[in-house]
Amino acid sequence: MPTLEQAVARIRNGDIGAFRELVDETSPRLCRLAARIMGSVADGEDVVQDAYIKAYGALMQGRFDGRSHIHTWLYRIVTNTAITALRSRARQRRVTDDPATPVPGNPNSPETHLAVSEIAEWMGALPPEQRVTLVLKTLEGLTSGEIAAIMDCSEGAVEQRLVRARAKLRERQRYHD
Amino acid sequence: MTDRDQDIEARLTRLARSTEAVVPSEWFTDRVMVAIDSKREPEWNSTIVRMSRVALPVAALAASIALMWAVASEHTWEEALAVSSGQTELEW
Repeated sequence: MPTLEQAVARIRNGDIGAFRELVDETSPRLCRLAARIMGSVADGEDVVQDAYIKAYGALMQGRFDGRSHIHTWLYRIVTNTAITALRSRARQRRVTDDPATPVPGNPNSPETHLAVSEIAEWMGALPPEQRVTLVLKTLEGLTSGEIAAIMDCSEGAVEQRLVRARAKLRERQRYHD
Repeated sequence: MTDRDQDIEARLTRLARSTEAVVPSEWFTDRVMVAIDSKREPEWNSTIVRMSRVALPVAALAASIALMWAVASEHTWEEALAVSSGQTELEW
């Protein structure tokens, strides 16, 4: 079975079929990550689609130098796209989709949709960078080093964001108690 | 660790578990490929860009060789002129 690195080499040579293989291989993890960050499966898919368009353009223009692993690079594009989308959503004050409304062609159960929208409701007040860091650490199970590589910051900055995010969640809980 | 901290960690663990099974829609890959296709440059355009990446260094090398040849030719030409003008003076 060809590796993702081989697929990347074929994409650079103009093989669009290789990009389809890359999407098939990586989209389940990326869509789960984006859904957790956005608090909506549909919004998560929109973010991942935008991220793939950016990734394709970058590959064709030779902007992926291969210094980081392809997974790390794709995670970085998805998280940056998600942060931009969260900021834009905050400006537009858009509410997330109703979890009770079924999305056509989406195989996720209503319970999964509810759990995803619970994240949006619970972490909604966190600044995008803190929210993404908390999702990567606690829901995706990545190490601080991996998160630092994805978010292009120091491990200290990751730890600081986690402390602040948890403090905000505690404060929120105190307010609700 | 306070009770609130434990509550937060427990809730995070529960949400991680209950969102573990999130999968993309059935036609997600098709949707991405259609979006990419609509944004792609025309085939001839990308071919020109790819070819120009190879052609540019070759053209730069050819230009350097041509410049060196032109400088060398100029010297030869001037030398030839000097000799012929000298000959003309002698004959005149």
